[in-house]
Amino acid sequence: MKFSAYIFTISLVFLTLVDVLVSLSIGPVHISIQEILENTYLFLFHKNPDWTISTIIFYIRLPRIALAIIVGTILGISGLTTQTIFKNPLGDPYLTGVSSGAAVGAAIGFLVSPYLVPVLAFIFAMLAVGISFAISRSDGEVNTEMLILAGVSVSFLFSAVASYIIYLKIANLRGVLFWLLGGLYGATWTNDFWLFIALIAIFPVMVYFRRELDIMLMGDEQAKSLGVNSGRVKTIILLVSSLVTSLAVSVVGIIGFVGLVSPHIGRKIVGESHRFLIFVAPLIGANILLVSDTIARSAPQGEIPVGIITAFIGAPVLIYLLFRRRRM
Amino acid sequence: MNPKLIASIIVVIVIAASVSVVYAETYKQKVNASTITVTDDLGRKVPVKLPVTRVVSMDPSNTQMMYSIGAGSLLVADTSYDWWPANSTSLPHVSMDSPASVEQVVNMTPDLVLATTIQPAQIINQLQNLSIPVLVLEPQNISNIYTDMLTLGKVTNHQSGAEKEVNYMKSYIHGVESNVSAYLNLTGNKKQSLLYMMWSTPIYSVGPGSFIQNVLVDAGAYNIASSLNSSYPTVPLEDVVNDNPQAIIVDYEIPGLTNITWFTKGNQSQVWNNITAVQNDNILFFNQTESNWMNEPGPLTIYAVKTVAQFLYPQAF
Repeated sequence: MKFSAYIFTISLVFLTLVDVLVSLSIGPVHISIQEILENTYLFLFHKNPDWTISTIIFYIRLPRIALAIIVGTILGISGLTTQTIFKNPLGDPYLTGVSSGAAVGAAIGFLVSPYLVPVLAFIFAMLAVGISFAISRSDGEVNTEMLILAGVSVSFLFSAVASYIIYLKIANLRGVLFWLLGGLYGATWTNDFWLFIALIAIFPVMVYFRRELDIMLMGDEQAKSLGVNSGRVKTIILLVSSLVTSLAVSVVGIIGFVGLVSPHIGRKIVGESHRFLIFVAPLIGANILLVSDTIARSAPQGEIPVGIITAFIGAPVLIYLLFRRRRM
Repeated sequence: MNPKLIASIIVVIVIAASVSVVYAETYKQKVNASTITVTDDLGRKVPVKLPVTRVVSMDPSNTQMMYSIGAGSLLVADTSYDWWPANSTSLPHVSMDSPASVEQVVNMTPDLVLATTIQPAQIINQLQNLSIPVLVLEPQNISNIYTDMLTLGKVTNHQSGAEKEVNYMKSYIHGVESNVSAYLNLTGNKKQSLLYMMWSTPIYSVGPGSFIQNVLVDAGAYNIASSLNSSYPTVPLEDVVNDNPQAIIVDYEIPGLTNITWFTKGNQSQVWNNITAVQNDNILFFNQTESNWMNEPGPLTIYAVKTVAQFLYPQAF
């Protein structure tokens, strides 16, 4: 098991690289692999590359591919930790109110200034998360059962506020709708850079707690007897994953299913232990989002919101896994 | 339950049903006496009782058609979005935000309601069920505007006004088109390639099947998004790079996108700075009036055609 898990993790890294190359050569504008290679060489050595091709590759496709990988990774790892901590297979990174909070922020943002949309989306996402946590705190620790219910209630409340703002047409309807559907069309190297920084800041935290996450799977009693302060660990991990998910959402909007499905696929292949899963789930998330976004941006009738594609890919995979579990 | 009670309830129901059937039949006959049946833009055959004296317009474009054919005085209510002509703003308003308030409309006791598909089908059906005829007038191209205005002329007994207005529009459009084609013939230039933006990120545009696409074509533009074969496509940025439009039109009130700095200094400026239209500062930012001309198919659409044509081919005018 251990050996094959190693191999699988490494081959996932290679699969990601292959996906990057394939995605780079696919798009609404047809560019052959030879042209890509030629112009990459010319671009990197400042030798007058073809402007159209090099712009498409270096300023449109590559930043977008990078964004898909970073966001997919964030959703994969947040989804995994959420599911483990809540011991709930339906857990996804938006469970604590991130998405509906961000929606309110975005709706207000389009009202004030579009440049404030990401900032307000982030602030309101964290506000929703903060309220959920405050409600579910007892004796200085977060009660996960309470947190799920608090998250659902807060989500409904914030969704209602967002819907009301949209309904009143105070905010520009079109902008909010695009934002709610989620998409990576706004990718730039600057966005990529900041999200990447956030990702490498939180990833070690998750990896550091992988043993504690394993122990938590056995239940709180067991964890306590093994000397794990599960209340504190839960709070840290959930806060960190909500934070980084909020950041991702503030850049790309609400993209569903990646955070839900990636951990399930990972568990089927490398098992429940977080030793590998902590790397595998985010890698699967990155691949799902990259493939989905490549399809979304290459559709013949113009771009399709990527959330539609992730659901089309994610839902059948999840259903397949459920069938297999039933037979076992 | 008491069988007598059940029996009497059944009797009451039967009597009520037969009375209403008889009443509906006589009502129908009354209606048939002086009705005209017209076909609206949804292909519905709508019987309208004549003469029409009280009209509610649920869309600014329909209000404009009414005034332009000289039937404006028949309007008893329009929407808060109405702006042309100036006296249309002083009429009582019904809400245009969907769903419209059926109560508000009924309260105006109209004998004709004009609407577009912005109103949900339920609202239109509800009004029809209350025996208020609803004409859905939503032209998809300019010749469709002509037929709609002639239909309105027939229904409101303003045929000659409608014909006059339609002829004026035809000659106006013809003037613009012949200017453009004379210019293109003279210079041997190709049609200007154009990106029409209704949203910034992502780039939301128009394509075949949309009204605006038809206006752009009439103005002599080559819309780069028309190859996407969708009425309202989201245009991939790399398509813009590949097609490198010579001109860009930006619709009114796109948050943040009100001047050229969005292109030259914004997030994706590395891409936009190399687009011909941006390099030549050949970008038209619609003001509210221009945007209304473009987005409200009616008598004012001709000014949208001229605005676009003048922007693309200034030397032709």
